Amino acid sequence: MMTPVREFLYFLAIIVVLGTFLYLTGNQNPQPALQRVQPVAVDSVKQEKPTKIQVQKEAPILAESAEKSTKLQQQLFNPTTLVFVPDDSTHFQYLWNKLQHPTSALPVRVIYFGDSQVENDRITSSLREALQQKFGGKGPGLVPLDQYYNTPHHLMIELSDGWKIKSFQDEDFVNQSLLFKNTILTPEDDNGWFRIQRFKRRSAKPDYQIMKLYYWAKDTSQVTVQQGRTQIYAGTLKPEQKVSTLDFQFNRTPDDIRFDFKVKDTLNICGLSLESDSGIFVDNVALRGLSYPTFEWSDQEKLKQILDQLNVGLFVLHFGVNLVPYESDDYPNFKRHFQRQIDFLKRVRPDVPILIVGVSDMAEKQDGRFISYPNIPTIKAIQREISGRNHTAFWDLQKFMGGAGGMVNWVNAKPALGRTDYTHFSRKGADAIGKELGKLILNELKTEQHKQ
Amino acid sequence: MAFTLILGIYSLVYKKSPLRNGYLLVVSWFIYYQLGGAFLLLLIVSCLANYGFGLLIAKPNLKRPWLTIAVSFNLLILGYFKYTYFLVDNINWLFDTHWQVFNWIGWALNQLVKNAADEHSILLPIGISFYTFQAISYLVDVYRGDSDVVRNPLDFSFYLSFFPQLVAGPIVRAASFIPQMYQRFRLKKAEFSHAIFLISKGLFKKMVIADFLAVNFIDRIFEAPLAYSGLENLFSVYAYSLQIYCDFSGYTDIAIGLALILGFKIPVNFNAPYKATSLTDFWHRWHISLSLWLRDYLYIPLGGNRKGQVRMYVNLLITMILGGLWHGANLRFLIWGAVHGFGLALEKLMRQTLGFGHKLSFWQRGLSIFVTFQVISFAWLFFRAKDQATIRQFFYQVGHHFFPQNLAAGWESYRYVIGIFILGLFVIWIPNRWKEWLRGAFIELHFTVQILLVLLLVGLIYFVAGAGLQPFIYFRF
Repeated sequence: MMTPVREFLYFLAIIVVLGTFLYLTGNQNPQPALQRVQPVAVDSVKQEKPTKIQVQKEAPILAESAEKSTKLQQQLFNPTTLVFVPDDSTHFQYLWNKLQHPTSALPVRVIYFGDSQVENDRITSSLREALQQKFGGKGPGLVPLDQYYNTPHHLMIELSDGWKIKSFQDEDFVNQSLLFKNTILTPEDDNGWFRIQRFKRRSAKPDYQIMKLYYWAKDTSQVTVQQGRTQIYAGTLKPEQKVSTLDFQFNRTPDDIRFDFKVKDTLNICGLSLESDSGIFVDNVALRGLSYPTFEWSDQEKLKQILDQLNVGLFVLHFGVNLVPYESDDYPNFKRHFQRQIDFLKRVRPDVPILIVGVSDMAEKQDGRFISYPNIPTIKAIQREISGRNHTAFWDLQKFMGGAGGMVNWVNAKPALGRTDYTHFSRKGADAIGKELGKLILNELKTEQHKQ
Repeated sequence: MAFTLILGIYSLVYKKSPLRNGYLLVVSWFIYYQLGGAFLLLLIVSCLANYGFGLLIAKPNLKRPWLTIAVSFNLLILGYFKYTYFLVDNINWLFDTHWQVFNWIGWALNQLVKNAADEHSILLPIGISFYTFQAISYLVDVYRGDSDVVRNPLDFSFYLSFFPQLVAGPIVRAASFIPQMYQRFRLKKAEFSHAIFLISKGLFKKMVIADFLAVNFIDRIFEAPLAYSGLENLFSVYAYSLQIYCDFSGYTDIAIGLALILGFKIPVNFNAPYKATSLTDFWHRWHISLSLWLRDYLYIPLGGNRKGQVRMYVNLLITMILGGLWHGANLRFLIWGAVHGFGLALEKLMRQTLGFGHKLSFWQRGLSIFVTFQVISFAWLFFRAKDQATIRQFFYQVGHHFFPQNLAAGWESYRYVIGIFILGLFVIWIPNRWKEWLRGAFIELHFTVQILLVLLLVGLIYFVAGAGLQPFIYFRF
């Protein structure tokens, strides 16, 4: 028979052996899988409007005091300004001029190239919202023609099976799209269709009213367009070795549009733009797994032809997390290739300013605790150095997140700002970044306004 | 460590039932205070109110009105804390209104103690669904004469607050628990070893399988389905089937083990549910205490199968939908319950019309288990997804971005996740005789060897919990 005394001794034996073992091996108590690391102190710069997001409390029963809450806000968001080289007086003047003194009938665009951090229109959707609130414009701008799902714009694109999708991942293909996605129809699969739908009809807000198809075709292609069940267009796409556009304007945002093609030779649709006739657009170009957009291995002539049809006011380059798992002293390959991409942009659009968004904070698990990768400052320093050398603007995203330890705080915030892979942002986190970036760009434009 | 301390003091008081029960009540309330803070007051109110209702229902007069009042009181409390947001959100959604939640109880508390609660939000007290259902079962059992009324308020409070099962069940019936409160402490060595085996098994399932799969795979997929291929999305649903079982049954194993060490027997709550050959069979094996509660206190009072075929199907659907909503105040839980309700109804229909359900051959049994597992896993999708957008995105990725060609790359990146997943499959489908052999072998071991094995398990948990995050198919982001 057992008695509680014997049971107590049994458990005591386990604790004594375990404690002795841990003492002898010099280990701490076992840590749970998700340990909250104490936030790293950041510069105490006050925010204009503290948001309601809080770092998760141990026992969230009673409300925190206002003072404590503000402190937690400062740990999550550390306002960080854009950095320009001292001898660069132009900043975003070019963008401001485009917005205020249009030389083109086309709306102004900010083309945002990024890695998986911007997938599914993250960051760019809230940046777009911030800029469009000020300068007008509706719609997501450029989107790749592929199976596509855009949550902020309630948008879904479906394709028939015949299309061949070629991206930067296809080594046997030279990219011809600024979005790094080429949607190709060949005579082997002479018929193909795609359909653009808005999936949330309840209280759907007005969005894009213009659709532009960027394409080139080796031979005449037949195209019909249906809005719902009504055919609204039937025509031909003439063979064009240069990238051309097929444009449609609607009275209101269409809920369901279907394009059908019949081709005799290769048709490459290298992009689709959903936009309005004026205002500003933020185009999301998400390149999962890359550390820079691979212009150097693309058909640069085709890219230039697309750019010639776009009124670009700013390029944004947001990369870095793919380098983080690889330790290096100075990342020579990254430096060299990143420079080549900037060279391309400067060659085709010498006046358009470039903004480099620095690598975000990212954590790994060590001894049961999540800590920031130690090489992030090195990567950031390289990005800043490239930025300085090329007279581009630079934004320190890791610093905005609170510096080292920022991602851990973001993951533990309530609601979470970071995902539990300790690399990516949650939708809320991405929105906060896009909003902040929008605020910074608008501040710069305001400065330009005062200068003039 | 804390339990050892509890046990140390318990060894001084266990001989006298009132002292033992009083001590365990204080410990239970202290633990609840640590977990739920001020909501301890609500638990105490619930204990005292239901104790009083029990006495009133036990009287020969006005039994039914008192039962109605008592059950309504419990459901109102549960509804207030659990379903207010659900109700207000749905009213706003349906009628395009902008109602705000106001915490009247918090407001009333603030009149007594300044800044005691936030008046503009209602937090869910931990374990309220379990102890409310347990209280209702007691009241109905007293009304039906299936259980004796408890005349000592401390004893009743102890029954409702016993810490191993307070937070996440099982829902213990008064008839099986209350007599144990007045019995002497008796525990055989084999029973103690069985308890240690249960706690170890529970920790293994929870910490090694459930937590590893959750942290390294499932949580990431469900928080951003569009970032992963359809194949990964689909795999995450099966992985979640393992996680929820290992998590919940692991917790229950620990609860049963701890209670047994303190001399109390709590009924089994899981019986290899993924070996079920049908949904009916599944609900005989999964969260058994809840299934029985729903049957005895909802399905049968609704009329069960006594009022014709149509009513039976309607009753089944109502029971499962309300059972779904019991798990959480969200449309997703309602859908989850409805999937099970329709599934059960369909099964009954097929059994009656096509004569299914006879003795199954080995292959028929295997196929039935496989098909049932698919249906259950599909239903878990609605249970786990945080909102309907996640569900939509899941189906979109499975339908449009399945990418089976990434399977080889997946093995490279996910090998630890797949390894734990296979271990999980082994845990859910291990033959009973193997389980029994393992349990028997552990019980037979000398205490020293048992302690050594427990320490090895702690080491394994430490190793798994401390392991770095696992990379993914798209190792580069």
